[in-house]
Amino acid sequence: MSVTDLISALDSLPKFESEVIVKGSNCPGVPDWLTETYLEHALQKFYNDQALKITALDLRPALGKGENFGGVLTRLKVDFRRGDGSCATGHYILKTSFEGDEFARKAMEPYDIFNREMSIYEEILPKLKSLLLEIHDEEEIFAQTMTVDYDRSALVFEDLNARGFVMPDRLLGLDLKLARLVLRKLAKMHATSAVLNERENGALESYDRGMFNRHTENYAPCFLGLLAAAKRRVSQWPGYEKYAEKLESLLPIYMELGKRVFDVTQSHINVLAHGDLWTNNVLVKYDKASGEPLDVIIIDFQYSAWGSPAIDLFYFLNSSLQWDLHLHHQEDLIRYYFDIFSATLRKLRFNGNIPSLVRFRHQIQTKEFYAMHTSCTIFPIHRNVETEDADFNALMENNQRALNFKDACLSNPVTQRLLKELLAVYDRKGLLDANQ
Amino acid sequence: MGEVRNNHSDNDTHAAPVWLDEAYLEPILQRSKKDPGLRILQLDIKPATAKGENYASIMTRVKVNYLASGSKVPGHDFYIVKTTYENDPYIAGVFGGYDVATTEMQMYEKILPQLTDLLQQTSNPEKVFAQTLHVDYEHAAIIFEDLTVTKHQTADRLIGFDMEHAQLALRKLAKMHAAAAVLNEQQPGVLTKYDHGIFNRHTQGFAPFFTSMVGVAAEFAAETSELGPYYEQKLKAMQKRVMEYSTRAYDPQPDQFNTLIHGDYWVNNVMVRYNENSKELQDLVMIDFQFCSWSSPAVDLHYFFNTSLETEVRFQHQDALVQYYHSILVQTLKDLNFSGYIPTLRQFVLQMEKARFFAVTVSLVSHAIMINDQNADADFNGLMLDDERGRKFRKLIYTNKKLRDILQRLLPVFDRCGLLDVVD
Repeated sequence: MSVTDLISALDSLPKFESEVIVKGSNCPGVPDWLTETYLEHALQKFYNDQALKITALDLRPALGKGENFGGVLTRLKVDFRRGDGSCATGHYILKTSFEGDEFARKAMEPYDIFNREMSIYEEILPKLKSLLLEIHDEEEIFAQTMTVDYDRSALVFEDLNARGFVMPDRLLGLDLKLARLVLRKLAKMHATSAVLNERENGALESYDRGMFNRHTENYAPCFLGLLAAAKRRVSQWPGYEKYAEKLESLLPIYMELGKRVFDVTQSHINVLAHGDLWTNNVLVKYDKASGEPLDVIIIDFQYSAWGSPAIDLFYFLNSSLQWDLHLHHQEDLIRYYFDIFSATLRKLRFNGNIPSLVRFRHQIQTKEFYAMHTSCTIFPIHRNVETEDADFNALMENNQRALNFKDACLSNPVTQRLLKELLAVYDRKGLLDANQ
Repeated sequence: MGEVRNNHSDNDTHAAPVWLDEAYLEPILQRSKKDPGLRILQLDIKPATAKGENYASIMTRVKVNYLASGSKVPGHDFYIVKTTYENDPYIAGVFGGYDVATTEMQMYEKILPQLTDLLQQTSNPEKVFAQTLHVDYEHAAIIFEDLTVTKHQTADRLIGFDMEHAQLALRKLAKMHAAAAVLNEQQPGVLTKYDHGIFNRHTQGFAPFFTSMVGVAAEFAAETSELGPYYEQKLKAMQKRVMEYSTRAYDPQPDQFNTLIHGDYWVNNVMVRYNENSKELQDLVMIDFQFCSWSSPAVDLHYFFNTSLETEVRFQHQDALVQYYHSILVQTLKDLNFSGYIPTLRQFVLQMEKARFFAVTVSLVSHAIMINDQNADADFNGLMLDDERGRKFRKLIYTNKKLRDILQRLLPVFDRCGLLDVVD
């Protein structure tokens, strides 16, 4: 079955179609408090129009299994009439945390993903946008925030789908044009965050709970479980025994190596990293006629953390690209990113040290473990096609179901081919050695 | 594999030193063989270097027929006598700044024998250097065994090494580096004082050469459609910084592994031996220690990789070669109970990255003259002087098709790493 066939098969799976709900909701995952009244108040505040009234409301689930482990997404279509009598329709996404699964909630708790995303959408992203406007750059990087509700752990932002943005194909990876679009946005986001942090006396430095951090190892079962699954698969290949051994010997030191990637090296350039930048967290607008990508928007800031740009670069470049780019063109793409990153810093009169490309590369190379981590443990999850058991528990637990799920991830032929190519490359760079 | 050319007419070679005669050599041989009654019967002296083979010294091949005390059958020994360009004041002046004669004499007299002793103590001792017969400070001459006699030969500098040869060369280099680190640990300062490599903080004698060659490279880029004005401008701007950026690679850094580096480690400075019957590669010896200095081993490696490898090995297998070199370095350091800093592979890879600008210099300049096959003006003046002859020669070097093809592929690689950017 070709990859295209697989995608068609997935696409034709019945999506969760709920009835159109008008008042009140019995849409799965949507909380009780999400009433027409609640939304009306939010919209009145957002549009600064106390006379705004909702005339119709439509709620539907936004994603299927295997697409997002970080919360519940509901699509809102709201018809409303403004105080001046004009009518409009707003499209939004409501994001709320897992309320059901106790295991998932406890595991994720110390990562504080919902509070973080809310504070970033509320406080940070609008300021980054202002900084770009300061230098007359109208580039759109994020979705616009509509409302943030800390008490209820809820976030409403514009539904980019309604503007024609869609998720790119996560199984194929991004081509050169798309990769550059993403990197352009990323570069500007990084640069503005460095400037914002400087102007606000280190305010962004408190974001210190990325996927690896010094507060918790709750995700260790996921990462170590995937590493072990990789080792199990690799040890089956003739000629790859020494790589399997090296993967095994990494287990005791793996979490520490990951934390070092996220440790802030003060003498390096640091930014607010997105923390989970891959195809599913990028939305693309394609030209209707030609199919060419026109623009991208970055979403999902649950794992943002202050640290090296390497966090995003190595994660993105080793999870989200087409095969040839992943293997042979990362240096080009890093240069492409860097030219925009440094130019934006300069335009904004960043006072800190702006490294040359040579120095920048030295800096990110000290974090290159993250490239190996992404290719070997994250890529397999992202490219998984057996989505039946693809949920948070399967990632985090150690029972038979969870082991089977991880083995399934490693049975993907694309993943296997990638490992066969890259293990030797990482080995020669010393990235598979327990003693790095 | 080519041989050292030694059958040229007088115009293409250099004359042997006048003081080299029986009276000079006899006491030296007597001392070396601990035989005061030894008599030299005959001396056969032939020039050994052709133009284009060596810009810095003159080599003379000596065959000695002698009679040991109480022996009826004559013995034969073969030596190389290495001297400098003592007569040409310009060349002597430039090279004088680099202290080459002194460095090499000290190497052969004191340092290499000690390194050999150390390596004898490892679990897999092997020959790395030619054995010294005599060092003469007064005549600035070194006499060592003629390795061609043991069937060692120089490899073809125009083609470069395949993986097998490269690994052997790197194994010897790693052993030298390891032994040197240990020697300096045992006798602190004995090696750190060497700081007159090709790039150093005392003299910029070679600057006209390096700077002008980068300029020629810029012209080459301008006339190559795949490269064009973008590269031309970058290389033109790089001319005034190439000396400083290259020298930075040589500066020993306190947080890195440093050792005595060879300083000129390329195809022509090793001699290889093959099995006479099977033609299998059997051994390799390192020669020519004029530019040793205390630095990062990355300097030797970038120099070797960009001057001495077959093209595809250079483009595809450097990582594997670094890994191999590192494994031998660590093995030997541990074998010799070194208690200083031993870099992990990852740390060494980063050390290589920090010195990577040097690969640019070597590729654009050093390698260019090394694969030159136009020998008419291939002497030191041709490299250095800003006269008609010099400019013509340097431009001619860049007509070499192999060089052009390599640089066309290599310049974009350097550029995407930011190595062609002038940063300060």
